[in-house]
Parts: sequence; structure tokens; C-alpha cells
Amino acid sequence: MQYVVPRNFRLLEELEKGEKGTGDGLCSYGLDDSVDDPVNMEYWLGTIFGPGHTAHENRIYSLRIFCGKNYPNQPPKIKFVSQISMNGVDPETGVVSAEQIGVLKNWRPSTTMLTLLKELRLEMASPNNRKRAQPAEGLEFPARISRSGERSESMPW
Amino acid sequence: MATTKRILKEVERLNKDPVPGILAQPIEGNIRYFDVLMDGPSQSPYAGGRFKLELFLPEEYPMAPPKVRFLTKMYHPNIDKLGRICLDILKDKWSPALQIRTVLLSIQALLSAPNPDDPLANDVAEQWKTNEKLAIQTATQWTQMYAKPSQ
Amino acid sequence: MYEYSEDEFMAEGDDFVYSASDYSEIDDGEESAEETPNQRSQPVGTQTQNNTFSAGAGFDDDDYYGGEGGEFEPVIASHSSKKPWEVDFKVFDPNELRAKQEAIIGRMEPVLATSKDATTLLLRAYLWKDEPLVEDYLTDPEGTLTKSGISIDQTSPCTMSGDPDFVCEICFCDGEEEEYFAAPCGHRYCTACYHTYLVGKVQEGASWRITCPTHKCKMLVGEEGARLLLKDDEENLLRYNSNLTRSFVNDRDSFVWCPAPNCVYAIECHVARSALYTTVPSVECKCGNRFCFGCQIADHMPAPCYMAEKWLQKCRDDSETSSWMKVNTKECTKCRSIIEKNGGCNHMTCRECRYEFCWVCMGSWAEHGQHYYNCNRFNEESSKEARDSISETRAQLERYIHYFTRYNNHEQSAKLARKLLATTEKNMEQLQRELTLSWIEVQFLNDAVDVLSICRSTLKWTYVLAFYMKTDNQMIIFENNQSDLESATEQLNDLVENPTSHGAIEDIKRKIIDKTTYVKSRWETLLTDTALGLQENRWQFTI
Repeated sequence: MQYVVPRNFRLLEELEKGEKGTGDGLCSYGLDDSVDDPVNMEYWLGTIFGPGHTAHENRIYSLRIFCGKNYPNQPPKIKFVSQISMNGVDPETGVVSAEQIGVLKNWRPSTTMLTLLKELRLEMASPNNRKRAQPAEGLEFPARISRSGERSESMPW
Repeated sequence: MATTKRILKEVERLNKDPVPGILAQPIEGNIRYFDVLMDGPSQSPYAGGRFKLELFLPEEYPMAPPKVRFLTKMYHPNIDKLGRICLDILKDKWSPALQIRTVLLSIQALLSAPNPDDPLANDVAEQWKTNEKLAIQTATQWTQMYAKPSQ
Repeated sequence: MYEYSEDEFMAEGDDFVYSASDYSEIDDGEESAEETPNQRSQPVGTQTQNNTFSAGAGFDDDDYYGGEGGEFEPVIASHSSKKPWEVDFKVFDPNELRAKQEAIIGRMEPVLATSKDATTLLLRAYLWKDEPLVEDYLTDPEGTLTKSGISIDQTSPCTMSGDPDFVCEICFCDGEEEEYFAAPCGHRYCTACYHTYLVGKVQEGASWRITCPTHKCKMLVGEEGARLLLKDDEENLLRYNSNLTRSFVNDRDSFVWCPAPNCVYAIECHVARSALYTTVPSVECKCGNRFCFGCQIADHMPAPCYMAEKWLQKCRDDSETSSWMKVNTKECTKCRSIIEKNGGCNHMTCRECRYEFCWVCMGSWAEHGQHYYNCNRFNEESSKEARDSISETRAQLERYIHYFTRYNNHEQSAKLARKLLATTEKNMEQLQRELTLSWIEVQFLNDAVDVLSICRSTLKWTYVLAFYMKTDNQMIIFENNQSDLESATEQLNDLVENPTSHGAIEDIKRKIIDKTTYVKSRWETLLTDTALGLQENRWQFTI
């Protein structure tokens, strides 16, 4: 029988790695424990330090990540909290497009949230994005996207 | 594979000779993943509650300990809000001679004997140390709120 | 221990990491550093550090390791010529370490009057502290053995088979054909599982601390047991043995491994933790690495460990610089040159490329037009506050930069000194050829470079000491010593670097030899002064 780590234990592993702090510290993430019931480990917060020598240099980008029931078989949903102008990121909501961003499109169960953030950081430094004019620092995308204000698996924010 | 044999044997023994107050069932499709129901020990603030846990046997099992956590919200100094449990045998005191059964019994024993000096949930541990009576009261309330067997 | 994944461990190689439970921070009882020289008996092996300068290049490798006099006669002796800043130490290679363990065991065996295996395990369990061991063992031998996880009736670990009732509680194999192993406690597991268990621990770096796998059983598997289980597994047996040697050093406060990459030597030195505030125990390994025994970073005389650590942390964080840079400078968005704003209005013009922009939003000035005071983030009140905090930060930073520049300068020069060595060797060859001097006659250049190199290191750290020192008369005396050494060092550097521009060769040789002697004496003066000064609490420090 194939060895499979169930969703929750996989997320616990990722959480522990994130708590220990990983690698260069240019991307980090942790559980959003401001939610009522963190036990399902759905809501996560990520941070990306803008890559040097690009329009993102010296900026710190906050992101929200949502890991659904079928994570890691299905990719998480992810959106920027800090405003950014970037290919594949909805200019109104900050939601990262699962169709346009390679790491989401080619998601495999072995891909982690850390890889996702690192890939996004690389994307920020890609020729398409590196010199793009950026909104003023400190601005945020709207927190609530769903009109009803209710969160759901398909519309977690 | 030796590990599979061990796991199957453990499951067989758990079925044949179940631990009173503990029900551990493999989740379909993954022999290493278990659903656990645990009754709160009598004479403890968790009495009368039925708690849900999940248990996973990692690849190195039994050389490495199982991973276990509570799914039911717990008010306990050694259990954090993700249900993670601070228990020595789940860490450095693990012995390959221990089993799922012994692990679950130890967790049940931890419910009877909280150890606020080795806390995982600091705020709860603080409460336990400064006002044990209130802490026990809160734990009892949470048991009523989140761990009623009917739920 | 389980938290290190296999991969991480493999990457570490033999350099395993001790988990907290494996390491206990207890002072070495024996041979305490407080011992006065008079109390010490016959010196057995003495590594003289009189001639600190020749150490390294022409290390005087006497047979200092002589006869192993045993652990309980101090191996290190003071000598009258010891300078105030010097400490006694001894370098061990792996064979010498093994020999040392054997010697201690051999010495203790008759004292405890028990088997060699039990003596070995007892010594390990007591972290080689003979006094508490002898006391405990002679008072209560059984209790001491039990507490340490050693069999009281000298039962040997064994492998066996042929018991139809045998069940391995790890893999659940059973029957009389199964071979099992048991430590002296008698808990049986099949040999295959026991082997896997043991190898797992060995690969995490463990050795003698490995116990029976039974929950709560403290019985040690022991070296005999481990050898039995690993008899057909040479790779792990080697690793087990190297872990044993490793733990001999790691279990003891008076030993450290030389931190140089791939260095196999360990150093013994007796300096109390509490003495590290006033003593800098600089040692030199046989591999040539000079380092501090107390904190194992590169030699940082005359700054004590805590200060060196604090300083290096400060440099790493570089926090002051970066925070100052953050509030005071910006990059020109056009040409990327660094711009500092000294005051004045927000209309900035880059000196490099003449780009005009707004300091507040970094946008082009042209876009501000007539509304420049309405730049969306400009607020007179807040920028005034910001400016006040800047001058405070700036003063602190300037002080830091003053000392850092000098520290860094000596560090860079020390690196150049190493390069100088290569040129020096060429110069020496040339001199040999031109003047038909013997090899020994041109050694003076090498000596000069050695002196330069060590003085640079010391000078570098004097700036750290000065950075944390409170200004008073005592500090002025210190700074005079520092400046004497510094100018002498620079003069010597110049002589060595451009020998031919200083006249005839015999002349230069004389000059260099004299200068080397002089610099060395300045160096000794400074180190003597700082070593005594630290012991006398002559200076006040801001940390």
C-alpha cells in the first residue's frame, strides 16, 4: 500500500517547519489563529519579501492562503493582502489566478505552501513583473470578497 | 513488510480486545490513519465527554512515535488549540515497544493528570497554576459544550 | 532527536547534533580551574606556550604527550614563564583520546573493583567525574549501578533463539526459529528489530546512552551489546565507535573539538565558565587554527567571550546601519545611487544623474507641480519627530561606525597579511638566491609576517573592547597601548611589504628583525595590560 500522509498531518508538518523558520526567511508562513476554529487548519498567512533590484524591493507583501479539504491533492487558494500589480493577480481582489500562475496550475501533492510562496516571489522578479509600476506602499486589497460576507470552500474570503 | 504486519496485528488486537472507553478505527483507504474516540476519565473535568482524536503512523513507525492530536476543542494545559499533545512518549521518550493502545491509554491518563509545569498551552497552564478551581470549572464547561457524546 | 530527518542528518555527516537530553551542562569536577599551580603535582605533558609566535608555523612538536600519567594527576602544569594572558592546554588526536579514555578506565577499574565494562559505563554515566563516582559507588554500589542503567550482577547482553513462546513486541514475529537479543535487563526483541533500533540511535549520534527499547527501562545496551548487534555491520560499528569518542569530548567541559573544518583534534583546557568574563582562553590546535576555548570562535583576545559574541551579533544584525540607512538614505529611483538627505525641503536632485524627485513619495518632482506640499504622505509634525529620532540614532551609529571601521580595517589587513606570506616566501627565495643566504637566515621575514598577523587579530578586537568601554583615565591608558601597537604594526607592515625600498639587504634584515622584536614587545605589553586589567575590573563596560 502506498504511503500517504493525510491532509491534517501534512499541514501539521508544514506548520512545524514554518514555526521553526525555513531557509533564507525571504518567504514565511504560519497558521492564521485569529479564526474561530483553527483546528481545521484552513486559514494561513504568508509573507514575501519583495525581491531586490525590482519594483518590489524593500516591500513586505502579506498574503492569505486557504487550504481546503482536499489539500494537498488540490492546490490551496491564495490572495495578496498587500496591493500589488502583477500578472496573474486580480487587480481588484488580489486573488492569485490558479490558471495563470504555473505553480498552481501544475500543482502536485508534494508542493508545499513554502514552494508556492517562493514561486510567487520568483514570479514577482520575472521580466513581466519586475519593473511594473506598483501601488503606493501600505495599501491593501479589500478583506472581504464574497458579497454575502460568508466564507466557503469555493469563496474563502 | 514488517511494519504492515505490526500495524495489522495491532488493529487485530484492538478489535479483539478493545480498551474500555477508547475506540480506534482505521480510516478507509489508509491503514496508517485512525479515527479515535476517547471517553473522558471519571473523576476528571473531562468526565462525561467523548473526545475525537486522529492518529497517524508515520513511515518510520514503530521506530518513530505515532502522531496524534485532538479534534475536539480541549481546555487542558498540555493540549494546544490545534489539539496537539505535549506528552513525553510522543517525543523523546518513545519506545518501539509501545503501541497505539499504550499511547491512547497514556493520553487518557494525561486527561486525569494535567501537568501545568510542562505546558503546551501557556495561557491555560497559567490559569491552572494560579486558579486551579476556575481552570477545572472551565474544562468542565468546555467538556459540556464541545464533547457531548450526542454531538 | 527524532526531529532530525535522515536527510538533514546525512548532510551533517559525522558532525551530529546533540539533543538537549544528551547533553548535560555540569561542571567538570576534576581538575578544576581554580586549582593553584602549587597544588598541582608533577607535570606530565606540558605544552609550553612561551614562544607563542613560533607556534603555528614552526610548531614545536615535543613529545609532550609522554607517558599517560592518568587522569588524576593533572596533565597540565603551569610554568613560571607563563604570560598573564596565556592559558595551559593540550591537543589530542583521536588515538590519544582513546588512549586517554583507556588510561582513565584502567586506573579506575581497581578503585571500583568491578569489571572493565561496568567501570567504563559508570565513568561515562558520571561524565568522567571520578570523585562523585567513587563516592557514590563505594557508598552504594548497587544503587549507583542501577541508577546508571548498568546490570548489578554483571549479566552479559546476548543473542539467542529456540524459545517457542518468544514474541517480538516490535514487529510481532514469533516462534522458536526467531533469533532475539536481550540487554542485561532481559527484555527480548528479535535481533533484526533491535539492530534497526540501535542503528537509528547510532545514526542520530548516540553511543553509550542507548538503552533497552522497552518503555521506561533504563538498562544500557552497552558497548558489549552494541558490538554484538553490529558484528556484521561494520559501517555502523565504526560510527558507533566514533560516537563514543565524540561523547568523551562532548560530555566534558574541559574538552572541545577544534572547530576548524575537518579537523580531528580535540583540546583540553581547564578554565571555569565563570572565569570567561575576565580571561580569554586562546588556544592553538595542531592544525594551526587559533581559537577561543571558551566559545570556539576564532581567537578574540583581548575581548572576553561575552563581548565578542555581542559584537559579532551586532555586526551580523547590522541593525544600526540598516535602520539608519532606512531613515536617512534612499536610492535614486533612476540611477540607484545612494542619497542622504541632510535637511531642507523634499525637492531632491540626485547628484549623480540630476533626477528630480520628492523625498517623501520618491515620485518624480515634475508630477508634483504646484502641489508639492500636498504630497499624500507628507506631514510636517511627523517628519519633525522622525528627524529628532534620526539624530539620536545617528550619534549612536557614528560611534559604532568609528569602531567598526577600525575593526574591519584590521580584519581586512589580516587577510592581506596572509597574502603577504606568499609574497614573502618569494622574497625569501629571491634573497636566498641573490645573497646566497641559508634558509634559516631568511626566516626573519616569515617571523615578521606571523607577528603581523597575530597583532592584526589582537588590534581588531581592541576596538571591540574600546567600543564597549566607558571613557575614563583607565581607558586613555588602554588607548595609548593600543595606538603604540597599532603604529608599530603599521611600520612593520610597511617594511615587510616593500623591503627593497629600505636600503641594503643586511640593513633591511636588521630593521625588520628589530621591528619585529619591538612589535612583539608592544603586543605583549598590551595583552599583559588587558589581561590584568580585566582581572582587576579596571574598566567599566557598557554591557
